[in-house]
Amino acid sequence: MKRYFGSMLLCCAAMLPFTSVPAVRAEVLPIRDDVDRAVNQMYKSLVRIMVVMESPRSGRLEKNLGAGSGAIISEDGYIITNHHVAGRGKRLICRMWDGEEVESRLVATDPLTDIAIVQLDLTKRKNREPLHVAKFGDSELLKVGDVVLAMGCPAAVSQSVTKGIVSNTQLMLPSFLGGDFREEGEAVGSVVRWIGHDAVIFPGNSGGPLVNLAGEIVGVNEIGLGSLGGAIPSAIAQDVAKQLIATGRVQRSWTGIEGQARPKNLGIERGVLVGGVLPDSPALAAGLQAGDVLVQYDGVAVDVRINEDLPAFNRLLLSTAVGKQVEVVVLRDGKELKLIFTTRVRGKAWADEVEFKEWGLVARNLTMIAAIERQRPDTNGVLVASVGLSSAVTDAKPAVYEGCIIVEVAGQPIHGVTDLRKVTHDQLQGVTGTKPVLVKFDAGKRRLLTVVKIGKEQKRPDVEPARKPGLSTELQALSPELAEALGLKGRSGALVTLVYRGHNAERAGLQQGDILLKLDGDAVKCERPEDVDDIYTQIRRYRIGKDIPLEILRGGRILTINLKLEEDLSTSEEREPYKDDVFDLTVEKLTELERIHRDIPADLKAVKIASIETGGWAQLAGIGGGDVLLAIDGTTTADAETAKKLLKQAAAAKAKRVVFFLRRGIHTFFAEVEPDWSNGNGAGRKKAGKL
Amino acid sequence: MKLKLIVCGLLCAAGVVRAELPPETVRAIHEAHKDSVLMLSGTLKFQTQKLHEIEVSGPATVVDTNGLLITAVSTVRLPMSARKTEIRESTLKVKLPSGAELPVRVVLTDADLGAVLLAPENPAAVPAGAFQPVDWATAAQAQRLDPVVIVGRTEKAYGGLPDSAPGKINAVDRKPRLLYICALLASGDGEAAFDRAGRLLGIGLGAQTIVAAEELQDVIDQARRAAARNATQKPAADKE
Repeated sequence: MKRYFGSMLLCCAAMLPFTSVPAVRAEVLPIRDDVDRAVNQMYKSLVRIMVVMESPRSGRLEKNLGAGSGAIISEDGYIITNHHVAGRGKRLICRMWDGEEVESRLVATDPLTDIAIVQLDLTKRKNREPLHVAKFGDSELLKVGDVVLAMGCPAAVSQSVTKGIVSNTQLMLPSFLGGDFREEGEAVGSVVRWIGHDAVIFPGNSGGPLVNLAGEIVGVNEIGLGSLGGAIPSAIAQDVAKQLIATGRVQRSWTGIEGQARPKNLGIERGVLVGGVLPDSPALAAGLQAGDVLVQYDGVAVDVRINEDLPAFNRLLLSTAVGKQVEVVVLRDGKELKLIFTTRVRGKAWADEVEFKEWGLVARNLTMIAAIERQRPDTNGVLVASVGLSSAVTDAKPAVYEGCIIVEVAGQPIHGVTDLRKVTHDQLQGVTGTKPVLVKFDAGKRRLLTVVKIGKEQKRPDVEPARKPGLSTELQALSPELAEALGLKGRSGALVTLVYRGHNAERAGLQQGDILLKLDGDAVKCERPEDVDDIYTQIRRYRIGKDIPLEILRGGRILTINLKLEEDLSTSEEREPYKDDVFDLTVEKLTELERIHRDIPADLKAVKIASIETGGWAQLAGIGGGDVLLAIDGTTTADAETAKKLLKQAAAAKAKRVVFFLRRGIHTFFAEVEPDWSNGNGAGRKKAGKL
Repeated sequence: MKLKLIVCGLLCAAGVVRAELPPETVRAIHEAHKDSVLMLSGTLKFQTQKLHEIEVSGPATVVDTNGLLITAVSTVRLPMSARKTEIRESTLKVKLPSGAELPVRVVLTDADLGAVLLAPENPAAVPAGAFQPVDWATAAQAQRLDPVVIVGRTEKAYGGLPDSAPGKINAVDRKPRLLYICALLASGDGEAAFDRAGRLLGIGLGAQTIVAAEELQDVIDQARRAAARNATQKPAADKE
């Protein structure tokens, strides 16, 4: 803050010989108190939102963990944030200003404006103080140069504040740079003109408020363009938030009019150029044509001179009451024309995704907009959103891939995901394994037929590799340079780097630091790192139990050791993995080789956390893949079977919290897992069905 | 006369050490063992980084009466690695001497020997007496230049018929394992090699190499255990 004042004074001092000090100096130079006041007003309303979201990838709805920011806007615990933060949320946990973490749910979301509403589960909140509720300010009053504060949780840190000024009240993404910012098929820039500012924001700030010095929300931070941030104006955000809270959606009209800014050289002085009229639309039915200039819409004079005027025009059309009869006045060939049409409901660009594991795909219904964009006569069919690389649909010949539309399965017409779900269920009744079904699908304008083997592929036993002997030791190549440095110039061999404790090599007397010169009478040539593998390959050609002589160099003396080859530790043990779908982790046996390398005593009863599921309870509690699990709720996890039993017991008891005792490196720690046994999260997402 | 007798004796002696076997010997060995080498066919889909599909066609030698089979990696081209291989789909079958076909699955691979071992998918469905194994108990060893008879099958294009080919051991490698190199061995992969007395010498496992019978006991035992392990497992959780 001091540095800021200093530089401002210098700037002003430099300006003194050339200009007088501006009269608005008191506003241009906010003092610390103003910032403090704004921060105090707003700070306790800030939340960090941790989200477990699902996105279609490789034919599945895969979980991802994300974080963003939000602000509490009501005493009921409603929080405003971005759709791209919480709109796909399956589990949401909000971290309050005092550090308390509170379970939350997605209430509703609007991809077109990238606004979502989340609600705290106040029954689970421990702090009984009333919530601090943020107020909205008027974004229309903002001017370039106004001081603003960006508040939120960049990089998922706790609540933070940065300061800047409003740089641009009409920020838009230029079309020549690739155009719109899209969310689930919606062009956010078609209705939002961002507030550009230079308060530093970073990934994680999304959804957090842009705040004026009165401590009011004047924007919801959404995008970053280098060092410039873009916030959704509060005028839009507040309106959308109200609708989402009240009705769970934003009701919008569809006219089919695609307006654009007036071209410079067509001599048009006012109005909106109709760039296009979409097929099957109310405007088309009324006779509106591309090239018309719309001058009045529902009694309101309209004008789009530059691109920055377009979002407001689009919002005007979208906010028309659904089913309203609208009169428009257009200029065509120099004459005024009045046309009348009735608006229709717009709906979303993209329907919700549904996973079909039996097919290896994620699909969604066709919305009106999606159908029109694909020039389809109706919304019948199911759009394939994602396919697995190696799945039933991609194994079919021809394959069904992303963008295809399934229209019939086993002779049954498919109108939407509900139909697909039903026919899948019917076809697989009483079937174990897979069943081939005839599928009719559209790929662009082509209608194709294929056979897809749907169902659950029976897991076949894996093919095992043969168990092979090993040296029970690890080696390093003795390069010529290393040999010379060790005073062994001209010698060829391999350096022993590790002797497995308790195994034949140790029992035979092999030691770390020995140089292996001959193996079963053959000289060891091992000058490059890859030569070490050749030694292991050579050993594997023997039989387990064979005695072979080793000639070694130790302390200047050549010794012969007889080694009985035993099974190679790297392939000898079954890991016995157990995947737990409740706690979202896989445990497996801690193999002897792992114990040797990680210096875990042979008598320490433990298992390994082989992997954790992204966004699962284990990950949220801070457990990581590779951790050594020592105990669950105080009971030692001696083996995978014990771990499995304890996890199942906890799940059956719906334990409020389960404490894992783990080891990571030389450190041990406790991780408290608090599963949510209800199905509360994700309430805002609709079930599969036709929109 | 004496000189003639001596010359004749020398000529006869020379004939005794010649490597070529008379046709009737080869035929007898063929007849005795032709049903111990059967024809494998089908397709296999396995998963590594991506899904692979391979076609299988070639001979496999019967190891035991339960239908354990051994063949070469050139016939079943699975990745030879130290990790388990996930099989997604299999239509592998073996054609029995009766003409019937029995589904089989791969149970074990040995990257160093180049061996692939298979077992019936459903052991309970194996008809009694369906499999005639080679006789491991009387397996013998050979020396350089000893004659050898390879009993096998013709290529698929020729119907996979039983066939036999005489050959000769050109070299013997004893370290680290006992291997016979048979330079003129045109195929021999997955096929059984016998000495002049019809005793098993080993199995052809690629690169004109016959791996001695005694060297295969270890991997055969492992394959039996692997087959038994998977046969007694409860149906695994369905793949999703």
